[in-house]
Amino acid sequence: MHPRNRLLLASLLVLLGAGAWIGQRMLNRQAVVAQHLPAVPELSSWPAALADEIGATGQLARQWRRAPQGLAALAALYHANGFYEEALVCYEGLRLIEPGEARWPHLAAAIATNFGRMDEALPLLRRTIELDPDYIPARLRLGDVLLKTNRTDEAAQAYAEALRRAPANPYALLGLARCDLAAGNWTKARELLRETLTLSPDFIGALSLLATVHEHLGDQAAADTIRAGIGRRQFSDAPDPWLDGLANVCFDPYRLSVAAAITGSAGDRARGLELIDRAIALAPKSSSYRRVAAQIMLADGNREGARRQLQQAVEINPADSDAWLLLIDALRQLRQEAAAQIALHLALAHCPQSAGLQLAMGQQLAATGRIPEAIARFRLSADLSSNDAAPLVEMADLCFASGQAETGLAALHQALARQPGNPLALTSLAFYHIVTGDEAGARRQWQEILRQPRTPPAMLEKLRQSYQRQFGRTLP
Amino acid sequence: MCAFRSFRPACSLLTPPLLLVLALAGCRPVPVKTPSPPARAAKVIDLERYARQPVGRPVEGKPWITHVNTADLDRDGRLDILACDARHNSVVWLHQSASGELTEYTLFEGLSAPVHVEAVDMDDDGDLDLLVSCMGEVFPNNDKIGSVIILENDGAQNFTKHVLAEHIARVTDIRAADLDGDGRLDLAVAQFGYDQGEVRWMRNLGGWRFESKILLNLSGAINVCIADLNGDRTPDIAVLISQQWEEIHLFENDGKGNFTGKIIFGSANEDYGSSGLSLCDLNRDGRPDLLYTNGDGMDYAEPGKRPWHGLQWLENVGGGNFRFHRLGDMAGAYSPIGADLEGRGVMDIVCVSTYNDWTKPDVAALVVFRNDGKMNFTQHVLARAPIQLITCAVGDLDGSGRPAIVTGGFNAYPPFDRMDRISVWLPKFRP
Repeated sequence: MHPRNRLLLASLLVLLGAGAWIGQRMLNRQAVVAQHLPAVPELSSWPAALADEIGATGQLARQWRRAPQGLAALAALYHANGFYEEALVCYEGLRLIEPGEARWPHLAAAIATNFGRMDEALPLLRRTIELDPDYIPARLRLGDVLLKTNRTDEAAQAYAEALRRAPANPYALLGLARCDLAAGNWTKARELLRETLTLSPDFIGALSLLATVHEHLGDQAAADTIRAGIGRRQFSDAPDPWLDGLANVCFDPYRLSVAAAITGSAGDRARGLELIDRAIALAPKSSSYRRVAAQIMLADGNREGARRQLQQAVEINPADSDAWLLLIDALRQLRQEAAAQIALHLALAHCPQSAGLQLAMGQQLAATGRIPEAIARFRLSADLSSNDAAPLVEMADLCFASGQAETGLAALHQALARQPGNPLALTSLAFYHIVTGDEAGARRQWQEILRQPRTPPAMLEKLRQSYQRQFGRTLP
Repeated sequence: MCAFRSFRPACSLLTPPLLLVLALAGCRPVPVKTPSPPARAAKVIDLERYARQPVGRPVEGKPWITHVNTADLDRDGRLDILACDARHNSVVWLHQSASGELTEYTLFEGLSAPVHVEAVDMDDDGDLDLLVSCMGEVFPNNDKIGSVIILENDGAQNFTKHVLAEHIARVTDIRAADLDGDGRLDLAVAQFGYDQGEVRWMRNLGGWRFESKILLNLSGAINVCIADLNGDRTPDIAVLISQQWEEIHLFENDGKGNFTGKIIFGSANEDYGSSGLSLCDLNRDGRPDLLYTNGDGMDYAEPGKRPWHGLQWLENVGGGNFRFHRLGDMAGAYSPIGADLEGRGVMDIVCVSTYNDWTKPDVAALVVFRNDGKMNFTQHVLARAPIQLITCAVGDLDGSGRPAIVTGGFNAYPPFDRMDRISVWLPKFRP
């Protein structure tokens, strides 16, 4: 054969072989995808857009060339909307056709851990780390799973490796501190938690645990200082972009609102708003999602935006007393007092049984000197919310100021019966004892107040000064 | 015969790839191991199985019944109902008369946010005293406002209050057992706190004096259970910790009150929503198992369900080791109680739903996971209303041999309809 023909033939053979190889791979891939396309679940209670998306991605997955993309999109849709069984089937298929992709074992592990199935999550997380050693959320999650299965040493290794790759990661430091606590090494845990807070001063996970550790080690003052500053912040998991990104294809407004609130409270308010906007678009007639949006906006200082959302919330649902209360607060923050007063009257017309609104009306009446009416409102608020101490404390303060000491005293005792240790009730009672010259009573209350770390420091100082003036001595 | 007759050498070259293609074409893809899906117990709508009978005082306002329990408080041979009413800061007794009528009495008022009551003869005088867990405030609060209270019974259901501990992180559960082998009943105490909570045991020194020892310093303790969980014939303590930890801890006792702790279950999902832990020998192998619900949906946004809410069984496999079984999904699941509901010698599990999508009329409020005797469970929906039930108990109230279910409602969030304080659910069909 002529050498040129031989070359041609060889080239042809190579091309044929490559074509056959590629074709076979695609055949196999297509077969794997076909095997891992779950039956479409019942979607009648979902927005039609979800069914459309599932239909479209299902079609994509059946296409010769774009099957993997289609299956990945389908997995995301199922996972994001809580169809975990279907999502797991998709992830299994994706792991077969893209064995080098770390996302698939990671996301499958996320489903397993959601359901408490740590044994199943563990090998998936180890595989994720093999495939992508720098994806820190997987290392943190591996540490968590190991810690919760009593493999403390291995957990510490996982956290330490996360920390080596992402120095200052607060979750890795918190994990290491928990490993130390599990081993009974409280002093070392304290050092780690202090280090965490030096790097991330607002990290609630470390703040909360450090208060506990201080208390355990006998440093009550340090524990109280932390506790006084914590407020009601909530812990949220470490950001996990692969997992968190699924919210982009979520069609469940409630799940979106939870994700928005978590993201917002973790500090990413722009993303929180993006998510809650989607929830509102999916459920425009729900006032509660607009409330969540307003709360994120208020935390971000966007009072006007919050006012707009809340105005719409009360238009949609005039019985939403929480939305009214937030609206009144937003209006006051905007210094629109007249509008706030109008809103309060409107709110009470719609929600006369709201203890919070009656309390707000009492405060408004008190501010304008209408004492008997204000006291009546506080009493009504207290009756409507039989566990709340706040209206009784406000009522007591007003009673003391207007010479109705006995009524005020009774209200404070009722407040403390409802909420023993309520800092405002305790301080009001202490002031009463000081004013009436009852030094023993004042000192007794002072001891009670010291037990409650939430008492504002300014209030403590005011009490000290009043006591000094009245009795000529300092409080212990 | 080769089709490429004029290119014989080429034909020989072409054969292997063609054979390869043909061989591959005949191949099936690599067999796929299907991952185990989340457990979904089969569901049966079974609304006719039980008849509901509201008992006690009528609903006024929004009920906050935080716990119900059964006990024959006056030892008249008939089971009564005990309940914590956190709205009215009281512990109430629904006394069963000879005619089977249940009449509600307030046993003690002025208890701040009582959330759990257990009837135990603490002073060994033959009557039942009450262990009352007081949170101080039901909703999130980091103040030290919890208290451990025993109401001492004089034998005629007049009670004297003993405050064993106060100004501590909010108390959610108290159980009694002789933990140090000295013949006196000691206490195990769960303290939820908020950011800081604890688990302690309290050594009984006699004369209503107790000495506290801290077992664990984590927030979110919901329930404590006491039983010989590792088979060494001494009482151990299991504790459910919620909040961001979502763990169950076992404290193994050496019989003298020295405890060694370990985690026997933990979820890495900080929104898992742990909500209840109870003891039950579910598989009747003689070892006490743990039933565990996750259904709390109060954090972050409006309260609501999560897809992973459900019921679990931690099978005691001996030596302080437990095997995790997911028994089924259930939105807002709370208060798992194991009981042989049908007299079959098989333990079923009752749960209630607190946080659910109550705007939908067809979601489950009261459920039984029915055991086929081989540890396969079918979810029977017994009721869709009243809604926002948070606690249940099971007991043979009418002496028929078929236990009744008692439920309590906690209506803290909208919608404020289909509300209930306390109801008894009697089986319609009897053996």
